Amino acid sequence: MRLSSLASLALAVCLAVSPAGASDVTDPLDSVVWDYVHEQLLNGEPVVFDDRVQVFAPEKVEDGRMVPVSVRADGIPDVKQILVLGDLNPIPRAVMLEPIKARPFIALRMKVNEGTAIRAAVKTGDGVWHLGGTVVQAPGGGCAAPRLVADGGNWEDHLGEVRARAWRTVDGADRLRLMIHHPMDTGLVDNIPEFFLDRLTITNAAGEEVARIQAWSAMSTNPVLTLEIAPDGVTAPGTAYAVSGVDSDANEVSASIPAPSQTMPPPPLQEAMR
Amino acid sequence: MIRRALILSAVALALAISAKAADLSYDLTPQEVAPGTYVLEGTREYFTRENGGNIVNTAFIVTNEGVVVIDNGPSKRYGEELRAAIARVTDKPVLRVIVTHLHPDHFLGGQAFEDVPVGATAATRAGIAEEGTMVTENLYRLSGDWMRGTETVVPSETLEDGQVIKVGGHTLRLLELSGHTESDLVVMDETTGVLFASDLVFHDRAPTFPHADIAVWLESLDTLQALDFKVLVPGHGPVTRDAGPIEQTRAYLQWLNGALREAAAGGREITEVIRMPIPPEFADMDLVRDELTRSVLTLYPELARDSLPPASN
Ligand SMILES: [Zn+2]
Repeated sequence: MRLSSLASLALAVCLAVSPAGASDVTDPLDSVVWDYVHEQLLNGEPVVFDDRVQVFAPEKVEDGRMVPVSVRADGIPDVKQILVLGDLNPIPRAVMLEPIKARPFIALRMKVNEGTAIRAAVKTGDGVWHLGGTVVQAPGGGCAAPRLVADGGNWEDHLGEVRARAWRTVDGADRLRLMIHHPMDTGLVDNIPEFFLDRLTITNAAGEEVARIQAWSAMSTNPVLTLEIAPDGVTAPGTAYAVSGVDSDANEVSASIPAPSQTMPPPPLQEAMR
Repeated sequence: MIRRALILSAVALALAISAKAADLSYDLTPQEVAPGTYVLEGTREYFTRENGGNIVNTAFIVTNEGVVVIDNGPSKRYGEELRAAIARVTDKPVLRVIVTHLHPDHFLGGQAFEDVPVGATAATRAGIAEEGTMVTENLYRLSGDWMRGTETVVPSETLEDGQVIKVGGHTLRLLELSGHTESDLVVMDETTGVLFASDLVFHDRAPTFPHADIAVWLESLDTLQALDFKVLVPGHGPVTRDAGPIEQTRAYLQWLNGALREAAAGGREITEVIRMPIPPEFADMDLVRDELTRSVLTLYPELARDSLPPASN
């Protein structure tokens, strides 16, 4: 772990004592737009910097069109929302998860327009945002750059198609991985209007909504999402999860993900980084 | 008054910058690795404003007739310093330059050799013509002032697989292989037994994958290992007299390939894969974690996609 991260953690612990209402807290990521992020994206609501909100992303990327980010907020009870955002992006929000019966975990790939703080804001039932984040260095132009891939130019043929699979984790959750074919146009390139996957809902075979997702065009082209459905929300063996969604032009997305037949190998011992 | 102060400080700044630019030097030191055969070994780093992109091995062969140069470096300045380094070794003329592949650290010294034929395969020439401007801009960003005045020069003539160049008592056999890129040109000097392996071989420095196909690359390594060489010049890292660097590159590729496939089959996402443990045998390779991250970002999305079956209703 880098010294600066240690310093941020120390700061986070100090600040975690009491939530702050106005923007009178010091941002451990030292972002120039922190006040804007707090007032506009988090509605000026109470915030704490909380080291239980772990955000992983590469320290630097060469292509701002695809920055992998994952968020874990284990140990925070009563999580209502997880919002992932890039401070300096023209479209700062990338995704918001309501983990109804999912774990407080999400992985995605997003665009960054330049080097920026990437944050996860985890809202708990008491209305407080718990914040974690990291800084990604990137060359300019991720949001204002042409699409990364568009299926050889014929993305219309595949629009809304889903590829997906479930794995059972060793502790009884279901990890779902989904890729949705969508250009995710930001509206910032070549006069192509903004066009993006908007919402997704995942339902188990008992008819319970287990996770809801709101997406923005700052997600990478052909978004890839990873979620974990908690043991009390997993779909029964032999059944399937239903995925339904809609994009910004009201095109519908519909898919089903069979219950896992295979247990995920335990994660390899990961080296401590960031 | 303020305006004048601003102008004066701008002038001072410009002078400071140009003085700094004038001080930059790669200090190229040719090492003789076989009779008349010299290698300029770069650092085992990534492009930085400190190394100016001198992270690559270039080489030249002094024959009875003149000099054959293999790759010309990462910038105009490097090309000029390479040419000066050659002139310190021999007063024979440079006869030709061979560019092994389309990566910018291997061809951006081209402006210093515009008076001689510069050869590359058809695929490499096309690739440089297409991507040259973009990669040059990228290097301006990474290497900074060292790049001043550097422009892409597309190699002027096409070299073929199997072509034999007889020059000044040397027989140079060219092999067009692939895997590191779509076209990796290897030069076997049958006279001295020196194999210029291009970036198909890395040594004590993690391989790079921006245009790579691992399965094809592994086949090319087998082809290289079957050649009768006495001296092996990798694209990056120290020269050897054995096949050690080929074996090291092969082992790393095999490990990476297996680890990425296993991760995809196991439902891992990129942020997890870039943190996976690196086997101890590779842990001492320079840049291994950075290059692993770059490799995963390049190679993993397709593997991950293929691990997900169609699920639409
Ligand atoms: Zn290369």
